[in-house]
Amino acid sequence: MSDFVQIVVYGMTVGSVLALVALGYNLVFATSRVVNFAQGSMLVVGGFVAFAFIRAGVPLWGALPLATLVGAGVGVAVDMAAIRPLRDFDPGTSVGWILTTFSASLVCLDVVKLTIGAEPRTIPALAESVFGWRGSTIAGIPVVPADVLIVLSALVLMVVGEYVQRHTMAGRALRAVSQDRAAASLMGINPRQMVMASFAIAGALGALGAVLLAPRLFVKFDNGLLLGIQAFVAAVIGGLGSTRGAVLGGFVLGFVGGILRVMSSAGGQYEPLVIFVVFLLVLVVRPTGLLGAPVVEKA
Amino acid sequence: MSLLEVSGLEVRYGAADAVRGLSLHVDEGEVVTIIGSNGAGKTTTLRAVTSMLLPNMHVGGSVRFDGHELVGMSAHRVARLGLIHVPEGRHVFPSATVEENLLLGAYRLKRRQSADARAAAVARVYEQFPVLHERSGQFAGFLSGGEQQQLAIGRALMAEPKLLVMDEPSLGLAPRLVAEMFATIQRLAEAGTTILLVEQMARQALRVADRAYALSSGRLVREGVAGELMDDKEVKKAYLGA
Amino acid sequence: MATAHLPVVKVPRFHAPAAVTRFVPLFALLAFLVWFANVPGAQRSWLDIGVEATYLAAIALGVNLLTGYTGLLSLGHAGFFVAGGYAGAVWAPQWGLSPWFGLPVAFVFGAAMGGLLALLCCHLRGFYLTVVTLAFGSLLPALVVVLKTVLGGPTGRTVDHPLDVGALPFAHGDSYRGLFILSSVLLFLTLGLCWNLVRSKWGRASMAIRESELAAEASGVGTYMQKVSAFAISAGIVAVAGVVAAERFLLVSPGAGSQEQSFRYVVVIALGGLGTLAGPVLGAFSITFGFGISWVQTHLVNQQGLVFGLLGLIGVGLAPEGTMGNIRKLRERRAQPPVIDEAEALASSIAAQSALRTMDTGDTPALELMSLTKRFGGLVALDNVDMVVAPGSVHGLIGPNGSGKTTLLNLVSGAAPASGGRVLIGGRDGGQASAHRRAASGIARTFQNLHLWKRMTVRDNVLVGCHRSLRSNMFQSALGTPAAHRNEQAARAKAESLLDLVGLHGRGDQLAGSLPFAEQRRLEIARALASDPDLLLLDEPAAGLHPHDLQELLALIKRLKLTGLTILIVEHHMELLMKVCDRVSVLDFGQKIAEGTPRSIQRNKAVIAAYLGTDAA
Repeated sequence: MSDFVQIVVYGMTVGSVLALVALGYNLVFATSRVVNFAQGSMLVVGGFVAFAFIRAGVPLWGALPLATLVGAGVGVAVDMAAIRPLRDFDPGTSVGWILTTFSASLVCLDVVKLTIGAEPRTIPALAESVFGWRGSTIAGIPVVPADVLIVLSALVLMVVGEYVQRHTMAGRALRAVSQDRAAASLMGINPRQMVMASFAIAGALGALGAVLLAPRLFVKFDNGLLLGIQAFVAAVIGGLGSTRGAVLGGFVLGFVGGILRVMSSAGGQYEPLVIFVVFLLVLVVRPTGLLGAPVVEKA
Repeated sequence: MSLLEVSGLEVRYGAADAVRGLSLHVDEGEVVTIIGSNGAGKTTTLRAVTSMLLPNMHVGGSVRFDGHELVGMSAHRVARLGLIHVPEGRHVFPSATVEENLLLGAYRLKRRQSADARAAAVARVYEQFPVLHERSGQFAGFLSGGEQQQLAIGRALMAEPKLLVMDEPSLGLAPRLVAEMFATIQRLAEAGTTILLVEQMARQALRVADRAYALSSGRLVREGVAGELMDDKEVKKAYLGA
Repeated sequence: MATAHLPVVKVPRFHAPAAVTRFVPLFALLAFLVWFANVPGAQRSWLDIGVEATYLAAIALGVNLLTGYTGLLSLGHAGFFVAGGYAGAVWAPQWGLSPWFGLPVAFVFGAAMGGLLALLCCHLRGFYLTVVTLAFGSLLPALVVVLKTVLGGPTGRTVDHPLDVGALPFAHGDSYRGLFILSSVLLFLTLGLCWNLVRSKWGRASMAIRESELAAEASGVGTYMQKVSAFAISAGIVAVAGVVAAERFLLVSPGAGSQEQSFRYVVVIALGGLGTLAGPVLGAFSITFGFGISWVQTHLVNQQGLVFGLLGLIGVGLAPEGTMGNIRKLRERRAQPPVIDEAEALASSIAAQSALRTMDTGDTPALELMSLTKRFGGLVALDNVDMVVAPGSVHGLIGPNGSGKTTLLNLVSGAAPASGGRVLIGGRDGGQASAHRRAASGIARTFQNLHLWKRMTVRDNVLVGCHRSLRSNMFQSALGTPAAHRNEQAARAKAESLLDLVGLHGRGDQLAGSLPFAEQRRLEIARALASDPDLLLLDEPAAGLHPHDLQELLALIKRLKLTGLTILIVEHHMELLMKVCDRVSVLDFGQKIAEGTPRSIQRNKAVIAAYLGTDAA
């Protein structure tokens, strides 16, 4: 029983953050057909920037929006430095953008190292209590408000995201660009602007995810690559471009991580291995992901 | 001065010439058609006019619309001027509903249009194309070809076009639907919409148009009043090589 | 089917000065390395940097085979670097082998790993492949934990039986000097291997995949196995470099296998020039020696991520072709095409082409379609089409936009599978063969929107077309055996002859992308002819041509007909069709609505209605 609770708590918290970051990948992919290889470094940037604000005396609830804002700004900067200079390119066949987004990621990480430092840090939990509840113990496993907060915020963000995409003109414009870029510009929509917006939102989601997850996984550099790859694998497992797929993929990987950790104390170290195998299997058996639409043959 | 004035238009794809030295104009309230066999450069001309460029596509010459030079302008800014392009192959947004497609059509009007005015505009489109009303909540990707073509036109009307550019609206439609499509164009024309129409179906196009231009291999071979081009030898030769 | 008969039409042109200048950079490199090893008072740290520069150059050359030539981006190759170190410097001596055997063991081990990974993931396109390599790289830290005894944990394993590099000639017993000599020799071997490969059938196939996989497949290149072999060779080369690095530190450390390291390899090549031989060496040397400068050492050594990140952004964003690419462009601008007697060349090439085919082809149709059908979802693009193309004839295929002409070509060439019906080629069932197998069965095609490999030379474009008839395999090419050399010479002669035939005499060394459009069209035809087809499919050959170019195309098609070739031509340009076609078939809405002589088609009521529209609307 206690194992089960532990798996659920880990799976839900880490899974929901992975889902958020996976949504960031999706969004950028939808508007620009590129995978933002700097997405993982947003987690690092967000976490460390939040830490720096707190160290400077900004209260936690102020540091969170500030870090999110910086995350969005870095997202825009990545777009300007890595995507825009390439001009017209076919993301399906050219590989330059992979190099530039990866380059941007390295630059982000080193700038954080130089300005804030490289040691792992902690950020206090966002709240000690939720509606007066200060945490409890289920089957010997402590469940704290921070855990509930992670899952709740992720869910709220997803619902808000869906609403914006379906019921506002800006959200519809974003979807229009992802479905047919040329036709969208015939409506007067500026596709470049939408690409930039998607990078900004992806950056903000990454930063937010890092702050939410800090009580559980700390703020450290290893998280960037590891969670970055995991979130991408989550997006691919679910089907790149599918919102429900990203959420599903995020929770699948979250629970896999939870199970591994319960099985052995060193289980976390096997995680990359297991995820690699899962990833290869999905790509070999069903390259479009579990919920992604199969590629339709075109005339 | 004409609403649209194209002069000395040159278009190349990489090293290949597609359109050479084309000049044409469209006045307000007119229906003008460009005809020619496929490969003649009709679609390329429209793409150049509305800046719906393909990679590798180079445009020279001048395109003036409503006091603006369009060559070098990006497509979304052209659309915001009110030059609305209904592209070949319809290009509806497949995973958006019919209603959302229509609302996106009004994107260029954004804050200038109140929510009520927008709803009224959607209702007017539904009135013209009842089938779209029936399907308003469905994904556009599930519509038939004819319905998608109606949606593409309805979406363009939502933008309150100053000039409506239509590229091969009859392409891929069954013969019965082709006739319906031309009836729709006729109706729009009678309502005073300015239209530039590209068609391979020369006879039908000439029947709805006021004036016409005939292209062959990227060059203008004839221009004139639509009715006179109907039996022109040059025009026939452009199509059948005889 | 015509046999792969390679006529020796003329002696290949040999420009002595050009051949010598080609080797100048090589001699310069050799001189530099010799000087470097003998600088008076050369310190050990100096030689140490030299070792790093040389093995990084070898790595860059290896990765370049995959990324620069084949166009596949790997961010996991540092994994092979570490794997090579383990296999060659730690395990092989443990098994009782001489430490020198470690080098070939590492190559085989790395190549096997690379090949295996590629077999699993080479069907993936673009970034999916890169992400798999990225995830592959992230396996190492996990493996280090799982296989603690074999890999030695996070600190790695020491090299207990090092190579006796001090005993090498010229080393004078100094192990630093010896290692530098070993590393330099390996660099030269790698250069030789890459030199042989990229100039052979193998290298051209790789570049063809990079430029257009579709066209490569249509020219008979088995793209999947080609990609796997590129992966394997590059991994093998990187693994050997891993042994040298292990000997340098006397330690194999898993930390060297990080994705950042893999990324460094690619940045090194991108700066020097992707897809060149000098570029990776130039990039590796300038970066290693750059970091060797003491100022850089003290100020930037902890900011390598920043430095390489910025170099990557600048290198790819601002100078996508790298240093060597820009040098090549300059040289290209200065080159002048030679003037040669074209008439004589033309006559001999027609004779050579005719010799491929017996004019007496009998009654078996060159191509027969039996109720051929193609559906895309609910849309019927091709509906029960029957068609017969007589051998040695020129057959036209016309129809309005979207009537199914290109779909038909794709089904015949094997680029897409049919939903129903049969395709008989020379009387035999084509089955559901893929494009590169159809290419082998005597069908060649050109594309509507030119799928030339623009960044390859005109001659190389045609030589890829010869892919099927070139018998030498990858190993023969890599080693430059006499048989491979003879094959290559014959293929080159044939390529020249084909270029003569289409009127591109003496243009072999130009990049295909730099030709005027009309000549690119003719080059595409020459490339198609290189596979000795019996049936040539031309997809809108007249599109975008000026009137006088059209006359040349007309003459070319007539010339081809003289050689006994059967041609199926899809075209809008009616005048051209009327002049060259024996018969014309007309498609509308995926159905054949008419067939006959060009004259009869022009008067056919159904055809006129399909094209001009009907009066009854």
